[in-house]
Amino acid sequence: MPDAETAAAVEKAARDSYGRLVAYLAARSRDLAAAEDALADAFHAALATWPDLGVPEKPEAWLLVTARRRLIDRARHAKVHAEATPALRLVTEEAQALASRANLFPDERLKLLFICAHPAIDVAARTPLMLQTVLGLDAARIASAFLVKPAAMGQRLTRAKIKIRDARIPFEIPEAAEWPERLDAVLEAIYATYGLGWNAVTGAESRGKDLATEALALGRLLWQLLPDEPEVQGLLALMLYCEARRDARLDAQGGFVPLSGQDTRLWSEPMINEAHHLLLRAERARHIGHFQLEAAIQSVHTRRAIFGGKTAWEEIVVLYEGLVRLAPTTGALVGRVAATAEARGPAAGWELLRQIPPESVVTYQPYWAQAAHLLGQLGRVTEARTAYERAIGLSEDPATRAFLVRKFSDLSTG
Amino acid sequence: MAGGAGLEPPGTATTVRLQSGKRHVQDGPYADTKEQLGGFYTIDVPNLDVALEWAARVPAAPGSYVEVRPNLVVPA
Repeated sequence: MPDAETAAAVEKAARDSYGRLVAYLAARSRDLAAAEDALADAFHAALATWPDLGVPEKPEAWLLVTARRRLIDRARHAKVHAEATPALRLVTEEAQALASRANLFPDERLKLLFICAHPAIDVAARTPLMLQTVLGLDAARIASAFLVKPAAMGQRLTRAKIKIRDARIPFEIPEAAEWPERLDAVLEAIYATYGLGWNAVTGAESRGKDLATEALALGRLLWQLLPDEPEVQGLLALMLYCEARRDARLDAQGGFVPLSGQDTRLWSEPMINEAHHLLLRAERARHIGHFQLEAAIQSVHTRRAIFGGKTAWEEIVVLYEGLVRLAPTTGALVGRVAATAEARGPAAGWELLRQIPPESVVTYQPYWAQAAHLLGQLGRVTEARTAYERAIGLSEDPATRAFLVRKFSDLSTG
Repeated sequence: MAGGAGLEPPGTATTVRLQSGKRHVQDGPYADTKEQLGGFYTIDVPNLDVALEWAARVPAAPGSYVEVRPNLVVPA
């Protein structure tokens, strides 16, 4: 039975270095699952031996050497692909050298993030894979965050790791020609997870907050690994601006409060300030991207807290126009409609909404909520009612649904 | 026998599609069974990224799919 001190030391080593250890071992053995297993063995060994031997001076190096030994043992037993053996021998030498020198070993987590978001990996597995291998979250926690059965999530992760090993997805930083696309895939995976957390507004459900917290942790790590990449700063700023408003999105009764009705005193000032500095830094690189633009839009919204509750909608329209030119996603098109309607009236908004291809919005809730809102303002009550019904049907979050139902009944009585 | 090779299971497959000069890469084998297999190539490359580069150069009709799958490695 390990004593409290040992348990704390092991836990600290796990928290500080899990991702770095997995990345280092996997980059050399080219087998993520084997690297994770070997490291798990090393942590077990630490719990068993550190109480008697004492916590080593360099716990990470100790874990690395132990895990490396397990990898080699296993490789001998399994007679893995012959070409993996020289790579493993290299790990042995390196690990020995590292154990005898400083506590530093190369940080391969960026390679690991790029592998997790490789185009040949199932989109649904990308962020779970990042959370498990880079942040060290266990599969059960990841499964509950994504509302998937633990067994199903375990399978998804296992399958992705087999694919990485057997299809030989390389542990390399993408080349310059592929860099923008590959980086965007990493950013998108993180942002999609943040979005899942954002859509679950209801306070009772901690899931939304969990996912948002994990996404922010990944965003911070990526920024640490790529400190000068403006889109990385843009994504982190965007998530922080949104997260700053989390507590203002629900009223005391748990009802949904739209952005325009939020009490700005409930916004987190430290998060807004951090986001603001990130965005300023990103802008200095003079290389615009869609995450920076989206963050800039959120930045204009948060300025309302300083400038007496007035939102500079015309400024937001201009930013959305830039965003639509850069990346005409359905989300950007609908966002532009909302901003235009606020700045120039519901008729102007409706004109833009009509131009969005209908086949792209069949199940897109924000479109129907926006359409319902504009139709109501334009006095087209029957059409508004149909649109509200559709938006309500597409809302998964109870608080959002209740908010739309209330607006729907205001329409009928008003 | 003139030639042939086993393939790794479908889980290792990646599909490439060329659309207006842009390469679209997706996880998984090519699923539409109504379509026809048009041919195959065996290449010797170090990893999937290099294989995908070559797959994008396969002289096939625009809009067609190229499935990339590793040859089965029989442990010695």
